[in-house]
Amino acid sequence: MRKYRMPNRNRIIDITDLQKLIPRNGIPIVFALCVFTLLTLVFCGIALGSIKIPVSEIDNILFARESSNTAWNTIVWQIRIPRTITAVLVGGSLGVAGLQMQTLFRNPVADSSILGVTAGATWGVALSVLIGTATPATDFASAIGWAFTSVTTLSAILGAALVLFVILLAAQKVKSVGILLIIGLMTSYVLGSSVTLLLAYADPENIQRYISWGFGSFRSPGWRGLFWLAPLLILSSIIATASAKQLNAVLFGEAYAKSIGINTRILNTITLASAAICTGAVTAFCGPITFIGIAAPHIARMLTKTSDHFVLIPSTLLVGAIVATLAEIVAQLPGHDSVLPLNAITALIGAPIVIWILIKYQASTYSP
Amino acid sequence: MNILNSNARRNEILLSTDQLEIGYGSQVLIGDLNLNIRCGEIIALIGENGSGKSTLIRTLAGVQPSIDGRISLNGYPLHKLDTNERAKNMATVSILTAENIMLTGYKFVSHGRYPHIGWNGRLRPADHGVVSESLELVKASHLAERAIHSLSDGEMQRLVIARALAQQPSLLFLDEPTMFLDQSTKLILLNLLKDLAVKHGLAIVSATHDIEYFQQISDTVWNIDSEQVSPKIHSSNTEDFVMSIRDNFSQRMALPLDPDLFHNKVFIDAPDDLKALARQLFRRHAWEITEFKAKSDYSITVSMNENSNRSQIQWFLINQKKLSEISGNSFRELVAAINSISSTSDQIP
Repeated sequence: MRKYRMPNRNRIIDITDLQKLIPRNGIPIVFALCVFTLLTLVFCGIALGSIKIPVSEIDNILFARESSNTAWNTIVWQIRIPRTITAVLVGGSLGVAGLQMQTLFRNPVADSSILGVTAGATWGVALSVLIGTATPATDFASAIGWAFTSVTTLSAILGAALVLFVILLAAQKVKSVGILLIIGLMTSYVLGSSVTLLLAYADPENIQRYISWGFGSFRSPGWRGLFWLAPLLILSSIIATASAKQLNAVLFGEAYAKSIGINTRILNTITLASAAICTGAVTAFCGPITFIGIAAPHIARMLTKTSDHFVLIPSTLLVGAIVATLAEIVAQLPGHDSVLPLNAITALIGAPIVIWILIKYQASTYSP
Repeated sequence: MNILNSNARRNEILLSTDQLEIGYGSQVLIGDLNLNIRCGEIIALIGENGSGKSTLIRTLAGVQPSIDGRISLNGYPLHKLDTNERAKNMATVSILTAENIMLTGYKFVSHGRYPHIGWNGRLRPADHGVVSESLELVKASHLAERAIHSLSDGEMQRLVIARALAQQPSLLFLDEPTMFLDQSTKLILLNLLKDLAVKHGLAIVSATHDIEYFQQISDTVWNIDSEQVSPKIHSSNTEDFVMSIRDNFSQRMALPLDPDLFHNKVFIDAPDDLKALARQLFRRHAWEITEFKAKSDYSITVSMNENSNRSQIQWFLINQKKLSEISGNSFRELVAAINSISSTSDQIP
């Protein structure tokens, strides 16, 4: 009688076999290039601006903290450095929040603004700006000692928090992410139309203030704003990084994720909370920053050629920071007095790049 | 290394349902389900479109809540089981679209290790071993470096199964696994499933429209009868099922089984139609069919009892060496006899 042959019972794992399976592509090179680019841009962001400061002086100001010109010292330390740090943090975390939304909703044009949190913050700002400065919010702000920040920021925080609360509540009740997406959109529409109503009856002067807030700016938070903004953004990025495994699982849909042991309800709640906190904080302090959330994940995907979130999240952080810093430098119009609206710049330079990359990438991977 | 638990005790109940009702919301699709799944059993789940095959699979796999009743896995209530623990015991294979998802085959299959590893997704050497072995089992090692969006449906299907095997489950659910597959790929898949069940004791439940193929490897058929007001599932031995509807099928389709599976030689003496069934039955249980009575280890005589219904048969199974004899009068008993011989003989070294 033929003996039963058990398959590979004593098979020894050959290490060279494993090494062959680890893809040898250019991911480390991409990371190195991104870090180098980011560092260069950060330096440029500090060195360049409407007032010309010699590079040799920048070195003095940064490391010796003294300069022949105290005004330069102030400009670098009080304006350019916080501005650049804000750009790096906001760009990176908005990019990751966009990536989370694209994966969770399986929608390539999603970013964190579809949750309605941006609309919530905008609505708060519109209320306080368009109705007038003498609102209860002012009294509230001084009462709780938050007078450090402007009324605009405070009302934006309240508006964003309100929507965040509604969304998290919905995430507990609703089973499918598709419905959550629609709830977010509907919330945006409701808040958007109430803003339109306010605009119809507001003073032109207030409308002007509201519109210029909507341009977006990395200069407005300053050191004081960063004190609140930075921890929130770092926290949301850490949450996103920690859920990379779950995000990978949800690439193929919720049923698939469940079948490999992922609790999708917890994942949805955590992901929505972190993306909403990030977006709410950014909108409150910097205004509604658009485009980076959609573009950064796409650029990162094209560069690394993978959908693996363990690679995508760090690369999206870097790419988001690069895009934001670059946009901020361009918006300052180095050597010129005026400042361009940030949101105009991000899309103006970013959109053609994304389209070009998408077309090029599609030609290289999808052709037979 | 052997990634699947080959010590699974045959015929031990793995999953059972008690008065289970499945459906959506308050709409009951199928009720009063008392089903058992045993180690190493292959179950073909058939029924019309919309009769609830996928719903049943999702419910049993714990992905969709049931309306009423209980499911227990190894005697433990399924709904109390942690999602990770569930995924270590049960895996599901369903159609996936990999469009716009950029992963290598290896990365994709390594998703199957997620229930076993920590939040940082780091694979230990043992996990890499399981992933490579899963790829080998489905003969897809050459797909490890390919981008999954460039694969054909059949290749992708193999990777999906490899991913499920990497979970090291004791129970595998498949939803229409032969859909989109060509004939030869179907046969490869069926051989693979048979192999997994016979060699590794994996229990397999597969929803399928290809019963002509599946009857060749399955032990049990769950037939969803949706013509009644309250649909029910009839669970029957595959032979009994085939006997009851044999006129609808061509039973001559030869499934080229892996010769490694054969270990007991049997000579079959029966009328033509019964012989075809008996051949399938023995091949399904990995016996080698021989044309010479003298060279066989066992011989069987099957005859039909003309007076009673069609699934009534009379059989004698004779051990040629010891000249001992077992007999019975249903395919169900014959299956039990074959199983008892298989498990007591020297198949496991």
